Amino acid sequence: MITRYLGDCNKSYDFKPLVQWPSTLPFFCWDDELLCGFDTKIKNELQIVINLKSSETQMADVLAFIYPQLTLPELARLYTKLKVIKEIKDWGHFFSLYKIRFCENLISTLDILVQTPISFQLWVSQKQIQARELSPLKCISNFVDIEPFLNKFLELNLTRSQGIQVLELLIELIEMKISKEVLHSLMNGSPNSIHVKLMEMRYPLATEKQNNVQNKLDNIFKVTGVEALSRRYGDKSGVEVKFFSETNKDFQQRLNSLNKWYETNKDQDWI
Amino acid sequence: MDLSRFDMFYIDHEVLDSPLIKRIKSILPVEKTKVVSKIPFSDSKGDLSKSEFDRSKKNIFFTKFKGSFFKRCPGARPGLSCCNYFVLNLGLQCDMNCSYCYLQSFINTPLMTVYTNIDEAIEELENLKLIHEKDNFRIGTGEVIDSLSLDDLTLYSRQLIDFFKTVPNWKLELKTKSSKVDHFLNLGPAKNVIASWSVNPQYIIESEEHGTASLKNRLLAAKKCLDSGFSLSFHIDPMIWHPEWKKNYSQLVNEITQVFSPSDVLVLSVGALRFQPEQKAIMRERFGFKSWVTRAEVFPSSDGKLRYDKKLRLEMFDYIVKEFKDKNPLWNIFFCMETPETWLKSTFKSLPKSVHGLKELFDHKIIKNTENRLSLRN
Repeated sequence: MITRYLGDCNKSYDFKPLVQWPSTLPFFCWDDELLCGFDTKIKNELQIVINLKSSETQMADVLAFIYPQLTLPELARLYTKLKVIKEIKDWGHFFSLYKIRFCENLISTLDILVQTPISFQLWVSQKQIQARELSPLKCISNFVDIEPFLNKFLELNLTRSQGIQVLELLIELIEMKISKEVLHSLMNGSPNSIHVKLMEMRYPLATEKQNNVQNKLDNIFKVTGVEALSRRYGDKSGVEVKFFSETNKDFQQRLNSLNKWYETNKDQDWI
Repeated sequence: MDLSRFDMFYIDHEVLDSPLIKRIKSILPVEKTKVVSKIPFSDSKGDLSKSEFDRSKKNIFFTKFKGSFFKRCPGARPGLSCCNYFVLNLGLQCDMNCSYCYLQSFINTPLMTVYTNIDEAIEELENLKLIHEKDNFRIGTGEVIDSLSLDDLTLYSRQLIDFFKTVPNWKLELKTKSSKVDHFLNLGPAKNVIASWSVNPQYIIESEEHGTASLKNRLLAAKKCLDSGFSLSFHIDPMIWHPEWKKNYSQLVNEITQVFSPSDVLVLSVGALRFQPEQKAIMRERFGFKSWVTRAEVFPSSDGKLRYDKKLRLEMFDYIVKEFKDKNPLWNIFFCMETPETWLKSTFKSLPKSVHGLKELFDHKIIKNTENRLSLRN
């Protein structure tokens, strides 16, 4: 077993892994580069580090052995550190060890991900966001525009799916040159209300039409105990009618009232 | 043909003796031509990235197609009203660059492929002719490659026209956004050969259909084809919403109807913007948000594609149908890749099979019979 002293190791591969290296485990290096325990405070520089470099091992396999699970941002940081050295020849093999297909699309996502604030990378790690879900990042023309919104975005405590949707809407709106002031004003309230406000801004024509229908309904739809809402389901927009009945008689009464209302208003342009 | 816009021409060593390569090899720039024994960039995996897709427009790979050339149009799927169409793919990828192009989510090799074995494609058609000569086939070559944009290099249209002249019941559609027709005009008349243009207002051509011929040049080319005895069709597809859409599409109708009458145009179809959700990412990267396609307000429709709001689609279709009908009620228009519901709610108020002039196009008995026979054959 070839060993080195910790004091003789470089830390230029430090990719800020999320999990601290357990102090009870041995340290590993690849030649004179430390592979783990980057942030461990060890006063004794004579701590022994095991060098795993040999003619029989590939660095990719060694890394996957030390880090059997890594999140996308960790992989992005590691890839950025290692791509400049030529130790890993087959990146396809390395990423396959993490069940990720190595392709140009992945590279461009990783390249962008490492440019985002570390707090955003942490969110991506926590929510286990996949590369494809981060594709909106790749259309950002100027990172300076998005940074303040990413910080705000992180404060919103969005669920995984909310986060993916809000991120996409936000980036699209920034790229559509919606003013920063307007966008900031939309980023307040509950996660659901923020999502709705961003959708309304992203789809102004559809929103206007839907609002017009709702306004008309508010003015003309007067059926006791029945609610009529302007709704969208995919590419279809229309009116959703809601009522609650406890008995058959009650149900029949609602239908009769609805029918009566419809007969009076069917010639109006309300849907 | 301007070959300078291409970076490389790769020739599969197996096709060096093909008639196409023998003819064109001398005009391909030596420094940009390479004979290869495997598909270039074959290590590229997964969906193409922006740069890979861009590269695919600039690298042509000449090779042999190994499979059946003759296929059913992908519009023929459950839930869509399809127009009985077969496709003959003589290549893959297009040298033009439309922002909405579905190839962006379709191709997975960063190359434009041109199949050199057109003789085998024609042989396949000859065999079909033995059984189906009397059937009404409509066959297009512009599904995954523009029918004519590279045709001044390949001259495939000439071979196809020669063949189709022997099967008058079959129709060949050469669908294009180019204006390259001069090299086959002398083969007319051939009424069963339809020179076909995808058209949009010049404003949309400039903002979304990069590298294509102008509307004026497309219509001029169409007129040349008509005068030489070919049939014509126009596809106003995809209609793209923009603030001035009514004015611009009205202008488009004017420009078409000023030159052509309903009897000049065999098929006139209309479709609205639609694309697979996964296409959004690459379109955003490649065209940014100046494009009316990436900015579009589109929603998931029942077939999974993103489309404009259904009512907006209907408004757009009805508007264009009315514009044509106002000029002349004899204009026959059909909706491409739309749901039966859209047909029923539109100006037509009926399914395409019941619309005068469209019955034959949408008669699925023809396509079913053909499919059955083809499957028996295979």
